[in-house]
Amino acid sequence: MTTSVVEPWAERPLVKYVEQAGARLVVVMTPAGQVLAQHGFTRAVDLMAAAALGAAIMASSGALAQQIGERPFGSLFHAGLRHGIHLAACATPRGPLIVLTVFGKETSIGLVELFFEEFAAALERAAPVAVVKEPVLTADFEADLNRSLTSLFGR
Amino acid sequence: MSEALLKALKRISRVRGVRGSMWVSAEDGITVADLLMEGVRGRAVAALAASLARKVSGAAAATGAGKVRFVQMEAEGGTLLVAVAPSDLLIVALADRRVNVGLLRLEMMRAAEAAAA
Amino acid sequence: MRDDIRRLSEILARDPASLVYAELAELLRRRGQPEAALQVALQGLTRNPMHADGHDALARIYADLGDLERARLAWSKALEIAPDHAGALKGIAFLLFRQGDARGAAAALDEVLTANPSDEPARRALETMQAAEQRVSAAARPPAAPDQPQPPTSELSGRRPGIFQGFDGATDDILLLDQRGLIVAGGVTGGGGADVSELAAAALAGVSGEAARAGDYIGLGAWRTIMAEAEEANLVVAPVGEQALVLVRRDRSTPIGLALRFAERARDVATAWLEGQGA
Repeated sequence: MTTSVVEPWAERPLVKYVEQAGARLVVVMTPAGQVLAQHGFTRAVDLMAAAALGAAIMASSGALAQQIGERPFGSLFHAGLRHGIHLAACATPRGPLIVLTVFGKETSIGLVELFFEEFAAALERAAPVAVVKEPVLTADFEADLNRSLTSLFGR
Repeated sequence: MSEALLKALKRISRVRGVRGSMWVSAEDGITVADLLMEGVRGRAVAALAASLARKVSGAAAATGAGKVRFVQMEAEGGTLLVAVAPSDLLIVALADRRVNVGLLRLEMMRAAEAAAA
Repeated sequence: MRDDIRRLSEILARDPASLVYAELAELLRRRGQPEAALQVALQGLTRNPMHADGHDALARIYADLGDLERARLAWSKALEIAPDHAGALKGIAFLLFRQGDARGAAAALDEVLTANPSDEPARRALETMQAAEQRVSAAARPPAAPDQPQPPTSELSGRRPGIFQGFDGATDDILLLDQRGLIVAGGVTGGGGADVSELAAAALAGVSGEAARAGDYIGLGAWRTIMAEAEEANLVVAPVGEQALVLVRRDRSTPIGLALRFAERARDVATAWLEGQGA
């Protein structure tokens, strides 16, 4: 029901984006599916699934774009009967991020795209410069993931 | 189809004071076709005009006023006008304060009727 | 009410897991203490996370505080737990309506009445929305004659300050509301003379917010009036100071320019009255 973040710098831009776009669910993640911030999820398992699927869709569409000789697609939009899904990438000093937005009929894809631009710019401004990371072993990755989930839901 | 849409926009844009006109998808708030002057944020106009029209329609329904056909928002710095066309389309015009609203409204309603034909 | 609050507080102090927290939160909310109500509701839900009434109470508090997104999530949670929870269904109907989705709102109210056919406020609201929908899909009718009698003043609007009484002969087509969507004075009647003031006020608060946002993003500045021409009537909405709005509804026989003049005069009347109230 609330906004929660692993990276504090993402909180303010996310809160503003949710309000402006009228989004129901938002996940900010790395291309690997690691969650940096979220809004609207109440269960860790749902958040993990959404992040994993969102990252996979972006990866697949990137591969498809490459196949047809296109640059990676800027954003994807899926229109459902009651909900829409918007997936888009943005660049930050911390590296590329993916934002998954789920919205209802009370808003529109036009509004989501409009305010996503501002959100992406705000994330880019707010993100600290990337820290050089050591190679992550599988065990460390799982520990990282568990820590981020605890941070998001353990408050 | 796009030729006819653009032709309608050209007629609307000829009204003095009009800074931009566009066809917008009412549900999505996305531009279908537009003619905009430099500096007009087309994406914002489309999304916000569609959202405003939807909310005004809700208010009209609440008062039993029926289906909305035309919306005009007057502001300090200009006017935003929306005419409802068939097939989930809106005609949106952005104008400065000196615009002849009556004439502009006529052109927009005419374009909406032509789209229905 | 004070005694009830004291009694419930004592019960809760003895047994922090008691479900009376929901009733206590609701009483505090109605007493105009939303912050205290929020604390009670949140603490109660921490101990009773699957209590639908508690989520309903929380949603009402958020709605009062203007946080409609949190209100929506709380009502949705209540419905997840109890799919036919009347309070949550009515809350969702209110939100849907406020967002311009009259059909969705009607569907939610229909569910309320299926579960409880004697819910009169829900029935009135649904009838009003259905009447509006029927007019939308009906064939075009001839415009109303200029001397058509005004619909009878509804009982409810008679209880509100009649600051627009005798104003250009209209009593039930001018509504003064605050930015939160709450009625201040006047009233609006819909089809059949039903009082639709609350529905209209809730819907209009959303219009005002959207107009302000549009003016800001598109570079038009502060909005001054919104005029809507609809099949059965023309509407004019204008801000009254920074905290209120006035709505004028006129049937189609009144030219839109004249409706705008009415609205400007109504705004002046409302401004003077609010100043007299110390607002």
